[in-house]
Amino acid sequence: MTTADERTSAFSPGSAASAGLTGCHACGLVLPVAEHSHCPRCGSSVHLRKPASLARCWAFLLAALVLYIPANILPIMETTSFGDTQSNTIMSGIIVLWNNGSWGIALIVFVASMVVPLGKLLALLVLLISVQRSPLANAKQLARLYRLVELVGKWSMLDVYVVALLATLVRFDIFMSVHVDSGALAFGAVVVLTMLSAQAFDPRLIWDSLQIRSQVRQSGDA
Amino acid sequence: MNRSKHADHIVCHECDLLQRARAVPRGGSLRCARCDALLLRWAADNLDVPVALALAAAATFLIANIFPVMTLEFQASRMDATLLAAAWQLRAQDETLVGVLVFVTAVLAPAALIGVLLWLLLPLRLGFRAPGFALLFRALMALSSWAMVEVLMLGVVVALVKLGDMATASAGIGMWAYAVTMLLLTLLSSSLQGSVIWAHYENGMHRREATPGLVGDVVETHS
Repeated sequence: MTTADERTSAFSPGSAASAGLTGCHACGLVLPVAEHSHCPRCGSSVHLRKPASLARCWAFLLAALVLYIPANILPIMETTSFGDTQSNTIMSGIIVLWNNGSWGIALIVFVASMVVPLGKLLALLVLLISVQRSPLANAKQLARLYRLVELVGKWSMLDVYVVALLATLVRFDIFMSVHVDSGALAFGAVVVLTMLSAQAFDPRLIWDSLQIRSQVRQSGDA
Repeated sequence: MNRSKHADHIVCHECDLLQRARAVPRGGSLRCARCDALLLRWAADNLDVPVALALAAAATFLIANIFPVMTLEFQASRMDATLLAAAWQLRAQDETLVGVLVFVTAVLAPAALIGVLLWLLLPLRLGFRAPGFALLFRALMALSSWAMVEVLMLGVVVALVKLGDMATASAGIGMWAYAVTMLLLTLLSSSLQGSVIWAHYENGMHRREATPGLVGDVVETHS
């Protein structure tokens, strides 16, 4: 399989890489790649593209996809009140909020805990498939999708904080108590893994992959 | 130290387009000509405001972690939650990893972010370079992506609503201090640019001299 980051000859037109230059990933200093292994200003290692970007992005994404199942099936917390114990998953917790009339909050939690994680998994799949196989949208749209994934990433941590606060506050022995359950760990792991996956993805490959495809097309015509 | 000979160029960090540098309009920002990524935001060429904001954030974040973010009253009993206690409680419930996650994202990363900013900026403002400058500068990016102060704020609001029908829940001093910290960090990130930090770093003691063109340049496509 040929991936975009393995074919180092194919950089997008006008890119710094095609001119033998790179912007330091940490401080932005423009450098000739051949002369530096580390940025002379901030000491960051110099490379044209994030190393093994696609492999690392896939690895984190697949791990997140696997854990997404227990994160949604297993209860994230257990509420005991007056001897009556109730388990809640992410989704059932949202339904409880909705039924209690807290529609606004229910909607916020629904977006942060259901829409954002699922949307992030799908968006990363779209980005990876677009770069490696066939583009599912044009480059500018893909670039926008990538920025959106980066922007909303951390908001899924919402439910982890809520559970932690409830478990700390609701400790009234037999009357009322809240315990964290195993779904919380799986859910937290999904949030962390999708963030790592998004950080591993190199958006420069979106533009490089166009160049590779046009080269393939030209060699096909010849 | 001299500036790079390519200082009249800028590279888009998202699509790698090489572009000619030009001054950032005052109060505005510059975007990549190809992918529309935000390249530079205008920032004042002095560190007074960022240093003041970082000092204030350090103070409010300390308060946010000493005082409870929430209090719950039920019959005659009363429970407080600080963030450290919340992380510790998860450990007590055998969910150590979730506790670590809460501790790192809500306490450690924001504390380190504020600490590193002060460590870098305060000496620069006073005219010298802090030890470990480059290493800590590189850590800033990672720290800011794992510091989730604003998400925690929303978490407190959701927890208040959830507890509302069980018992009397109220926001504590810690929550307000946390909210102010969040605001200060937002202002800080919009008043500070990496290019300004490096301009001060490279100018060293001569920073008071005019340094036109060092800060915030861009944009004009190359191709």
